[in-house]
Amino acid sequence: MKLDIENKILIPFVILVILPIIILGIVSYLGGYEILMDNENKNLRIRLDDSIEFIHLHNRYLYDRSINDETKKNEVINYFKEKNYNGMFILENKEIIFDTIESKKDFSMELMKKILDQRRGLIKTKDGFITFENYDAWDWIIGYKVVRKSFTQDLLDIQKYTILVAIIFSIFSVQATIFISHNISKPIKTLADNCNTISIGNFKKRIDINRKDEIGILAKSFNNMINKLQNSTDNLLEMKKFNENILRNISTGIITTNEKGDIVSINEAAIKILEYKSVNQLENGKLMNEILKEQLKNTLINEISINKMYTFNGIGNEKLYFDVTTSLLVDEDKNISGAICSINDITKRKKIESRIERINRLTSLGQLAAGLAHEIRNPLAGMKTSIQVLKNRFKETSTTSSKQLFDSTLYEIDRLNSLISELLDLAKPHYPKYENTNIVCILNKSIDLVKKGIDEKKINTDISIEDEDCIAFIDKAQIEQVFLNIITNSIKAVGQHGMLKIIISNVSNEKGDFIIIKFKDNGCGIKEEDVDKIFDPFYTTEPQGTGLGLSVVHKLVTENNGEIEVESAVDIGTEFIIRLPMGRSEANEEKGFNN
Amino acid sequence: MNKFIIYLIYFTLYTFLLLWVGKSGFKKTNNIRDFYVAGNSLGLFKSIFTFTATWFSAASMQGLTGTLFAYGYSAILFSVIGWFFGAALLVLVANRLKEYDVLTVPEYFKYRYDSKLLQAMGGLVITFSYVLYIIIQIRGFGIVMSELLDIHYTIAILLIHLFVIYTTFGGLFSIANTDKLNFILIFIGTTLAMYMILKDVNGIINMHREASMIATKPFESFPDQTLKGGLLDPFAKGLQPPVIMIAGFFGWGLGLAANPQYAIRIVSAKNKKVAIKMICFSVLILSIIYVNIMIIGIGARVLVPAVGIIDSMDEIFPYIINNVIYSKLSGLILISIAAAAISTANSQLLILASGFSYDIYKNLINPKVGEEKFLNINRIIIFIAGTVSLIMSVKPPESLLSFGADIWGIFTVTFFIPLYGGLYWKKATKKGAIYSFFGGCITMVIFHLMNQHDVISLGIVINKSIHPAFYGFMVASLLFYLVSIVTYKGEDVENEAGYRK
Repeated sequence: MKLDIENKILIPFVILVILPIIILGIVSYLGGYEILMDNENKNLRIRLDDSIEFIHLHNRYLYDRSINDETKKNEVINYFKEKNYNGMFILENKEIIFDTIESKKDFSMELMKKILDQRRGLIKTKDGFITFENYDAWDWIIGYKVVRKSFTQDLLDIQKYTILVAIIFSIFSVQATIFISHNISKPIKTLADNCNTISIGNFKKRIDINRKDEIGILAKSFNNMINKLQNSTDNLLEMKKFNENILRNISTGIITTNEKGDIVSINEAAIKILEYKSVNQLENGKLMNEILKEQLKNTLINEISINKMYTFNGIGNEKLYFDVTTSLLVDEDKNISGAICSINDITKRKKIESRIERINRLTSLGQLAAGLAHEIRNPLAGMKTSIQVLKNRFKETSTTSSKQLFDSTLYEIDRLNSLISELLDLAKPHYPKYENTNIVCILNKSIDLVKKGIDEKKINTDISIEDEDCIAFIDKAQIEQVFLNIITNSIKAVGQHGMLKIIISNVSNEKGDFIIIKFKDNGCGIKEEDVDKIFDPFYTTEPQGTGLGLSVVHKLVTENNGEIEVESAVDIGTEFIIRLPMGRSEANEEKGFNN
Repeated sequence: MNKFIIYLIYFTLYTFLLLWVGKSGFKKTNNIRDFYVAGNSLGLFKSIFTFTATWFSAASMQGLTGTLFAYGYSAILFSVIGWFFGAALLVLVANRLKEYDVLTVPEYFKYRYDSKLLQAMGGLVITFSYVLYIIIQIRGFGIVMSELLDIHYTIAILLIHLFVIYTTFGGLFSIANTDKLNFILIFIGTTLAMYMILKDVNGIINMHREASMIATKPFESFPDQTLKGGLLDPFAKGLQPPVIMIAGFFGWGLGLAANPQYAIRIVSAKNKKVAIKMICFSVLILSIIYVNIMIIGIGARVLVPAVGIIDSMDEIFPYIINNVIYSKLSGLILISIAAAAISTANSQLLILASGFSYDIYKNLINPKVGEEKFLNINRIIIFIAGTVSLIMSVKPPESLLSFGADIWGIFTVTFFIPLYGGLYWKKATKKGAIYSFFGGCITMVIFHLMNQHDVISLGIVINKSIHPAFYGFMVASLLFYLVSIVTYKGEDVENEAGYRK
């Protein structure tokens, strides 16, 4: 049985309180018993002496009257019979000739032998004691036996109030002990109960003990401690919440594992990345979670940080790029408690990098081409002049075929000049004149310009305007050129009864507000490996093309603070997505011009 | 073995058992609700034990046995019939009182009538009445202890502090626990005594045959001589006139029905269902015990038609057990008589403490007293009230049963009408309750004094056999009805706020 604090105080104290009272009671009882026994012994001694004196006097008195011994003895015995002294006995020649003993079972031969041997004195028996003395004249031994039981009753009568008082004091002491132990243990129990309540999370509980002793101080300290603990816990919870918010809102996926590689925590960004179905497939067919597990395992086994970039297949031909870094989780004592993995979606960064690379490439190519064009143009001018002089000089003598040769040479020189002009135009820095322009108007104008081509191929042109606000802050002429080039490309790409869908919508992101114009056709499409090259100068799949149209488009979109992307699949079609900055308010417009 | 030693063993065993059983109550008591009403948590068995043990007091055990011994079965009409009528009314209290979240009956007055004064007056009546009523228990205890331990009555009554103060200090949890022990002892004790007496009188038929022949004084100092056949007569052949029934009804019956010591057991029961069952089962069990008591009273008279050396009826039962039918089990029966007194006294001391501490002190003087301090104030009141009753018990009233009826009568005239009226009459008003309370109390006191001093005033001839509670009750009822009718202001007014169905 498990004892509580109250019983742990109570039981020893009850024993300590009761024991002395019981011992005192027993000592008092035994003391009384001894005194009573001693008194009884003395009384018997006196009675024994009186009896012997009586026998002696009787013997002497009757001696004078010359009566024989037997008669004398009988008279004495008759006298004692009359008196009926309790416990008296007379022995003569090893025989009991008279007794008033009630319990004779202990009056054995052995005891008798002892009495006969000693002839006078006191012998203690099991149930009392025997005091005796001899009367030599008659060879008698006269004795008295006292049974202890006979005076126990008297002893109880004398001692009963002592016993009662002892019991009453014991009860009183036990009650007092119960009260004291209860009063001592109650605040301790209250403390324990409160601790228990607090341990299950109820920090609002306070101890209501108004005492000035140590328990009161303890209760006060405890309440103070709980206040501080609550403050600390509140701060910790706030900090925890803050950290959780960071982890929840951060775009980087964070996964932590224990030392065995089992996931301990995962933030929402990581869940999103892992849940994004199309991401799951790596180029080599592996799944994202497999890759992460493998990398984490390597980190834990080799105890090194690993950084790798993975490319996944996205929707259509879209590529998704992830930067995954795994490193060890090491505590202050340099113990490894697990690993941490951060997953960054770097697709956008990659695209920007790619665009910058393309711009750089275009710039270099443009400059090279412009340099070349400049160098070619002067000799070409000389060549043209010379051909024209020669043509005039041989005007009359030359045959028709010679004339045709001159003309075709001049035509080719003009074509070269035109190409050089385009190249120079591409390389030459333009200063766009930005203004708020309705995109729909420009688009319609562009379509009108190529209407002939559209009609020839019976292309189904569908313009869908999803948002009403179609005002862009652009150079009208340049963007018209952009639209013209893209639509022309689409007309070339689609077959008879082809389709060209143009969608105009708005989007707002961290970079600002944009108008998105999507040109989607169902033409022959572009091969995957060629997609990156289409904006390069001179890249063309058309035998008659110059390969400068889309280069110009890219240059002009970029100069108008816009972006262009292309998505294409062979035999399915191509989609150009152009993002142009939305129109500005007057104040912004002015600012834009200043910039 | 020596008789004294046997009795001492019974006494010691009972005492230590009571200490052990009562101890657990201390642990459970954490607040004043635990202290007064055991946190309203008592289940059916505990409720029955504490109800019956509290009910069965020295008045039942010694007073009724002595009256049965002296007057025969007519004593039942004067007492038990009235008590059981009161118990039946208690069912009505249980039905409605559980709707109120109260710790004392006077607190119910406060909620029902919106009157702090009525609560305080209720507390005052409780304090006064119980100080007097506990005397009955102390006297009963003293008589049996002086027989048991062969000590003088004055010393014997001192011992009650050992039992009563201790158990009451632990609150109702402690009392309910010790009541379990006391109830078992009462049941075993009365059954044993009944069996032993029945054996000595050669069966129940012979007992009645012989009882019908008795025509002696029950004891030397008793004023009336029993008439032949009087012991079996419902009115003791004229010694107990039918009008005495009115005393039994208005003193005991209605007093019991309004007595806070029973009403509070309704509050302490864990729900209404338990409270009603508690009353029904308790009455059933008590009926069995009262049959035992009847056999003991009449059988004892058959065994000793005239006792020589006793002074009052209350000494009959212990005397018979100790001297006439003594056996080794006599100690157990004597202890059971003491248990009846203890179990009632501790309950009454607790009610008394609540009456003074809660209904007067906390209600009027210090409403914001701290829990721990308030518990200690209650314990101090228990000790003081217990001691006052103890001192008054040195010179106690002559008969426990008639004195008890006088005190219960105070509850009839003060508590009964505002309690039942408030529970069942929507139109009962605060003023009606206050007028009823004071009017009933004053009337009873006047008629009581007239009875005592043979005063016949205002030309009214007073029948002294009619209990003064009868007049008090009539005045209280009339005032309650008339004043309420006059002061009732119609539907949805303030005085209906406390009325709950």
